Amino acid sequence: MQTALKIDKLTKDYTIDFFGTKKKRALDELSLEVYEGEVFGFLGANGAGKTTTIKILMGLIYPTSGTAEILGRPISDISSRRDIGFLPESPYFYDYLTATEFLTYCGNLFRIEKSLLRGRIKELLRLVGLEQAADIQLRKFSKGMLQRIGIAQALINDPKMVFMDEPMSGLDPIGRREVRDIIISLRDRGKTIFFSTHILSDVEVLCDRVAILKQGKLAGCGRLSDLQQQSDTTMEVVAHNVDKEAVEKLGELAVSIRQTASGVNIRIRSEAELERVIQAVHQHKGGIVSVYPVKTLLEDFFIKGEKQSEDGVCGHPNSGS
Amino acid sequence: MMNPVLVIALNTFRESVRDKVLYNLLLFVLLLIAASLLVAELSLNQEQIVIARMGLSAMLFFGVLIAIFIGIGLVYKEIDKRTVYTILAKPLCRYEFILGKFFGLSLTLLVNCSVMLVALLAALSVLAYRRYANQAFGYINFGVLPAGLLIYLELLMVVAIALLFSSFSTPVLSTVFSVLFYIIGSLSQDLLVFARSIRLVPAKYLLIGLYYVLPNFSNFNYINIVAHDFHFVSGRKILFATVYALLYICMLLVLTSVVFQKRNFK
Amino acid sequence: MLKALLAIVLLLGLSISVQLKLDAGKPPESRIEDLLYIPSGKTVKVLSFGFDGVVADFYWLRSVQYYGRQLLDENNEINWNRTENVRYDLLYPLLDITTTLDPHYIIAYRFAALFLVDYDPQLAIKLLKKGIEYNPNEWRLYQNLGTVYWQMKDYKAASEAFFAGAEKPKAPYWMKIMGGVMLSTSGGRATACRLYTTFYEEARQSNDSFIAEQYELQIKRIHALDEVDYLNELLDNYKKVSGRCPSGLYQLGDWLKVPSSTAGSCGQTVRLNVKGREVISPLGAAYVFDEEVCKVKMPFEMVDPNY
Repeated sequence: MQTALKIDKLTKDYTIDFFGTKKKRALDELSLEVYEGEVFGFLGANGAGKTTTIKILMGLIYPTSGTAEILGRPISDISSRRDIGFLPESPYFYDYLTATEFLTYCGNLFRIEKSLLRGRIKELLRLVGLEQAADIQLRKFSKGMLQRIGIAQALINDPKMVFMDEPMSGLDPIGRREVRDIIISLRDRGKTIFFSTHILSDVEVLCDRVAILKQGKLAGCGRLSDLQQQSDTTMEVVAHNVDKEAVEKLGELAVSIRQTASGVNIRIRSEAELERVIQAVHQHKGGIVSVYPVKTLLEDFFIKGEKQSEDGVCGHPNSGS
Repeated sequence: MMNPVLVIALNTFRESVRDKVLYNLLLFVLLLIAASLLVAELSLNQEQIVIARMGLSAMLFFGVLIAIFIGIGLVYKEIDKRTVYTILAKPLCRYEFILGKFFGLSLTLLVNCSVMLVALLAALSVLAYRRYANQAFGYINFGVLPAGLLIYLELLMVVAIALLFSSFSTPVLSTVFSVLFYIIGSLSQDLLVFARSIRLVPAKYLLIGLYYVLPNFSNFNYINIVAHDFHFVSGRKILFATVYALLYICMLLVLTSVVFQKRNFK
Repeated sequence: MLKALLAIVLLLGLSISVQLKLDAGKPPESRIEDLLYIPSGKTVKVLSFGFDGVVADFYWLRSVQYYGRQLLDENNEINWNRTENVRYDLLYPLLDITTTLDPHYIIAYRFAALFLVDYDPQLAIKLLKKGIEYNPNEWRLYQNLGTVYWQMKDYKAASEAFFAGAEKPKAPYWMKIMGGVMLSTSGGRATACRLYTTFYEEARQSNDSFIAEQYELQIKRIHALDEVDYLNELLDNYKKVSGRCPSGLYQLGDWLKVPSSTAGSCGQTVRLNVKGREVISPLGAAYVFDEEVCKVKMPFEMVDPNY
C-alpha cells in the first residue's frame, strides 16, 4: 500500500499573550500515516487539535516542529496542492458569486482548461445536487448548500486526496446522509479521504481506519474492527414491569441502571452476565423489551483518553511507542 | 489558462463591482453637472479653473476613500470570513494572492478614474464650447489628463499602504493607520520644512529620515497648478513621479507579502 | 526572507533617490505657493472641521518660516538685503487665512504691520482693522496701526490711532505722547528713530524678542540712511577738491575714518565701517556706489520714502 499522507512528530505551539512568553501546545508530536484509497477518520473532541492539524497540512499555519508529506511531497511544496482537495470547517465563500462562478474561480486557480472546466463544473454540481442552484448567488445558499458547494470546490481539480474538516457538522440528518454518500462514492472512485469529526457514528459508517486525538496528542489509532476486537462488548438490556426488589438485585449485576420511559435500562459488562440478568427479571415477573450490544470503544477514548495498544499502523514506524 | 494573480485580480474587481463601489461615479457625475450649472456665471476662464479643480479634487477624494476602505477589507475580509482558507489551500503562493488583491483594486480604481476623467473633460468641453463656440478647443484644460494620471498613481500607493496594514492589523486600526499615513504623506514636505528650522541635530536627522522613508504624496499633487496655470505638467515630473510610485509600491508589496507569508491563519 | 528584506531596502533606497531627483527639480518653497490658490480663510475654516485652531497655527508657522527663511543668508543670519526674494503677494492671503481661522492671533496682525507695509500699506491697514474689530482692547494693534499711518504720512490718522490705543487697558504712557508727536511733527528720520527706539525698548522689556528684533532692524536702517547721507557729503567734497568723481569709495581714503561732525537722526555719532575697499552698512551689506551720478545708495532697493 502506498502512503498518501505521512505526518511525523508534528507539533504546534500557540502563543497566548502579546509578548509570546506564554504558550499553549495545540498539537504534540503527532505522527500518523494514511494509505492511498482509504477513508481515514480523524477523531477528537472540540479543541483536540484536529483543525490545527488540517490547517498545517494545508499550509495555512506553520508547525512549530515536525514534518508532513502529502502524496510524497512536503507540505511546503506548493505543487503538492495540485492533487489535493480541501473542505474547510463550516465553509463560507464569496457570497457575491454564483455557484458556477465560484467553481470557475477555483478551477482557474488550478489553471484548468476552460472546456474541461465547464464539463467538470456541471458534473460536480450534479454530484452534490446543486444543478438547480448553478446560477444563484452564494449569499442565498443555506448551510447545507454551502457545505455541498464546498465539497464541489474541493473536487474541482479531480484530486487524489481530499481533506475535509468536519464535513457533517451543522447539517440536518438528510444533509448528513448526502455527504456520507458523496464520501462513499469518492472512495469507490479510488480517492483517499481524510476527514475530521467529533461524531462517532459517522466514523463507524465510513472509515477504514481512525486516529483519535486528545488534547493535541494521539490517543489511539488503527483499524476500527481491530480496535473493536480488543475491547469487550457491553450489553444493554431494557426491561419493563420491574419492581424495586428486582432493581436492587439487578444493581449487583449491572454496571449502571436507570429508569427510562420505556422501562429500566440495565447495562452489563459482558454476555456472561446476560443470562443472570434475564433470569432475575423473569423471577420478578418483569419482561425483557430489548437486548443489544453497545460498542464503547470510541467513547472510552473520548472520555478517558486511554492509549490503546498500537500495532504501528497509525504511528510512524520509528516513533516506537 | 490564466495566471493565479490575474484570476484573483479579476475576482477582486468583480467583487467591488458587485458591491456597488462604482456607484460613486454617479455621485461624481451629478456633482460635476451641478457645479457646471452653478459656475456658468463666472467670467473668462474661471469656470475651467473651478471645474478642473473640483473634478480632480473629487477624483482624489473618492479615490482615497475607495483605496482605504476597500483596500483594508481586501485581505481582512478574506481572513474574517475564512474564504482565505479555501483559496490558500489551492496551488498558489501567498504573494500571488497579495498581488492579485492589489491589481484587482487597481483595476477598479482605473475604471473609476478613467470614467471620472472622461466626464470631467466632457464637462470642460461643454463649458468651453458654450463660451467660445468653434474656438473652444484651445480653451479646454487638457492639463487635467496628466494631473489625473498622477492622482491615479497616488491612489495606487494608498492601496498598497492599506493592503499592508490589512495584512496584519484589525480593520479599525488599519483605517486609522492608513488615514494617518495619507495625511502625513500629503504633508511630508512640512517635515522637511520643520527639519530645517530645528536646531537639535538628532531630531533634525530623524525628521529628514522620516521625510524620505514615508510616502511623499506631494509628488502627485498638481491639482492646483494644473487648474491655474492651465498647462501640462512637465514630462520629466510625470516620469519621475511614476518611477517613484512604482518603486515605492513594489517595496510595500514585498513588505506585505513577507508579513502575509509569515501569518498563521488560526 | 533575507532576499525579501534586501529587496525592500533596495526598493526603498531607489525610491528615495528618485525623491531626491524630484526635489532637485523644484524650487524649495514651491509648496507654499500652492497656498496662494486657496481662495479664502473662510473656506479653509469650513474645511478644517473644527480643527481651525490647529490649522491657524499651521498657517502661521508657514508664514513665519517662509518669510523668515527667505531672509536668512548662508550663515543663517537675517540679511535684510534679501527682501527681493520674498513673494509679498503671498503674505496677505497667508495672514488673512491665519487670522480668519483664529481672529485672536495678535502676532499675525502685528507681523502684517511690520512686513506687509512695505509691499502694500493698505493691506496692512485692512488686516490691522480686522484685528481691532475682533480684539478691540489690544492696544498694540493701535500702536501698529498708528505706525503704518505715520509711514504713509497720514499724521492725523496716525495720531488718532495712537490716542485711541492709549485709552485701552494696560496701554503704556507713551502711546499718548506718540499721539501728540504725530500731531506736532511732519515725520522725518528723528521722529522715526524716536518711535522705533520706544517700541524697541517696550518690546524688549516685555520679552517680545521677535518684535524687538524687527524694531532694531528699523533703527539700523535709519543709521544706514544717515551713513549714506554722510558718504554723499564726503563724495561732494572729493569732487570739489579733485574736480572729478572717485572710481571707488576706497579712494576717499582717510576721510572714511573720520566720524561725521553732525550727530545722526538718533543722536548717534555717524562713523563708517570700512572693510577693504568697501563700506559696510549696519545691516551687513556693502553700500552701492553709482559712479555715473557720483552717489552712494542703500545696499538694497527697498528704501522707505519717508526717511
